[in-house]
This record gives sequence, structure tokens and C-alpha cells, in this order.
Amino acid sequence: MQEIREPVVDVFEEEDHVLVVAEMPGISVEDVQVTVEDDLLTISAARGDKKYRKEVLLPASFTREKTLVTSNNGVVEIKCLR
Amino acid sequence: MNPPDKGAERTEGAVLKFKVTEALSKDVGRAIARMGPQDLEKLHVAVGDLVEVAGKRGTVCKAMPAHKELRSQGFDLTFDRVVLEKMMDLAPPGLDEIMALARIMEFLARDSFDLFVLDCAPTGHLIRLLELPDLINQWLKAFFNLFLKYERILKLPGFADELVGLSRNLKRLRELLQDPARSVLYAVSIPTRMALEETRDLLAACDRMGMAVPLVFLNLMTPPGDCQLCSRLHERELVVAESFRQIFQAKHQTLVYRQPEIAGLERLEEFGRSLYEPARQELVTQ
Repeated sequence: MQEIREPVVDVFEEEDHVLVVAEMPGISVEDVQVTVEDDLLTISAARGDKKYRKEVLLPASFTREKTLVTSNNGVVEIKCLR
Repeated sequence: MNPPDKGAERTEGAVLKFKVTEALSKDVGRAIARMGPQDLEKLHVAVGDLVEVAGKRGTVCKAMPAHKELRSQGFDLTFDRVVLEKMMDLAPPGLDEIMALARIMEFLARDSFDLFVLDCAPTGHLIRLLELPDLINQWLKAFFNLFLKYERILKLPGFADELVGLSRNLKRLRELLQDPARSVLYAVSIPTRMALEETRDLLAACDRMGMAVPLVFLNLMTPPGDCQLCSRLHERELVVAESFRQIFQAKHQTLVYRQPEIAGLERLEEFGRSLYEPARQELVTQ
């Protein structure tokens, strides 16, 4: 049984979007799965034996269509557009 | 903080100044460098990029956005900018007058006028003005220091030169005011006890400053007249005038009675004569 880790997550409330930054070393954008249900954002990612999962409460409700996911050096940015 | 090498043309011109603050407890040991999103953009650094923090030894960190409360507006000059603004607010009282006087010095330097007549602020302000060039000098110095520190960031062309000029003029002004051959102060008072005390303060201040005050005007005297009120006022004012005479014995004193506005060449000349005629107690009447 593999361990599922919880990444360190920051939530930034900006004027036109909410930015969620998750630190998941070893993960790139294609390994990330994001679901949004009202104000609940779920991030899960897996590559090899590295597994991450985190539920984040957003300050407002968003939809998956208006959510952009990018990653850079294992730092995943999830931008939820208002 | 240096951005990673992404080609000189991308980072050229983006020199930002940051203030380093204590890390949030949850950030300790994560090897991240938080900066405001706008600053990241200016440096062409994306979140997650590796940046080097240069110090006693270099440290490589991942760039991360800073939390809102720790962001500044572009330059991290916030604190000093506030100080700078406060300095302007805290400009010593009398600075306006000093600026005006310093401007007179410029005219004087041009040698195009023979005589300057300045109408000064009321006693309290004037005393401060005369006694506090030091304070204003200190204020200017503090201002200079802040200004020089940020000379390259705060673009206020000519402003520094102006302050330097002001400081220089202030010094020359002080010398001028202390030279009785070149400047005198005429005190203008009114015949009330309060004004008498104010004038006493003013003359004492001038004395300390080494400024010459050869003449005291006692203005707005009520001429003796038919009406009872005028006569009573006149009597009362004469008593004060006598106190003036005794207290400021060394000064030439001129009583000026209430009169219509001094307008027209004839009245002006008459007034001028009464000012420049030899010392004796005069009555300027219409």
C-alpha cells in the first residue's frame, strides 16, 4: 500500500481569480487531476510511487471549466477565474 | 534576489528592491522565496522557477507568490515613501516664508533691485522664522539623506538642486539679516497691552539674533475727536503708547493714526516722508 501525501497548499485571493498553489515535487501538469464542486477543490496527482491528494476550501464557488492548471518544477498552480 | 538566467534581454531594466522579512512559520525550511505577483512578472519569473538569493552565501529557492499583506506596490519603498511624505507634512512652520525669503535671495543675487520691503507674518510666526533656520536646516538635511538614498528611483528632476539652493540661500539670508548695514526690521504694533508684550518678545528675539530694529510703528491709533468714544479710546491708547515709549526708549517710535487708505501719489509721498524723516516723535495724519 502506497502512502498518499498531502501537499503544502497556499490560497491567494486576487481581484479576478483565486490562485491555489500546491507544492508537489516530482509531479508535472499531466499527472494532476482537479475537480471542482462549488467551493470544494480537490487536487490529486500521481507519478510512479508518488501520490498526492488534498481538498481545498475555496473562498467562493467555481466551475471546472473556469479553472486552469499549470505546473513548474513541481509547483502546481490552479487558477480559478471569477 | 536575482532572477534565473533567462537571457539578458528579458530581465534587462528590471531592478527591484525588496525588503526581506521573517518567514511564515509554515514556510520555514521549504526553500521558497515569496515575492508579489507583480514583482514576479516584472522579473519574468514564474511561480516555481528557481531563483538564487545572493547573500553571504548563495541560496537557491523556488519562487512563490507572496501573501497579500506582505506585498508592496512595486518598489518596496513603502516605508520610506511614507517617511518622505511625513517629512513634507512635518515641514517646520515657517518653511513657506523661508522659501519665499530664499526666493528673494535669488532676486538679490541678480542685483536688479535696490530695496526689498517684506511684509512679514505676525509676531509668533516671525520669531519662529527668525530663530529656527537651524531647525529648517536639520529638516533639509534629513530630507536630503532620504532623497539621496532613492535618487535613482524617485525621479524628481531638479528637486534636489532646488533643495541645495534653498539651503544655501538660507545661510546667506541669515548673514544678511544679521548685518545692520544691509537689513533692518521695522516692528509694527498696535496700542494694546497684548501687542506691547508681543512686541517685547519680538524685539528680544531680534536682539538674540543680532538683527537691527531701529524703528517701531504704533499703528491704528485713534485720533482725538468730538465723539466721546474716540476721546476715551485715544486717552487709553496714549497710556499704552507711553509704555511703548518707556520700554523701547532706544528705538525711534512713530505713531500712526487711523486714516483712510493711503492711495494716490500725494498721500503716498506724505507717508514716505513721515517714515524717512529724522528721528522725532511724529504724528502721521492725513
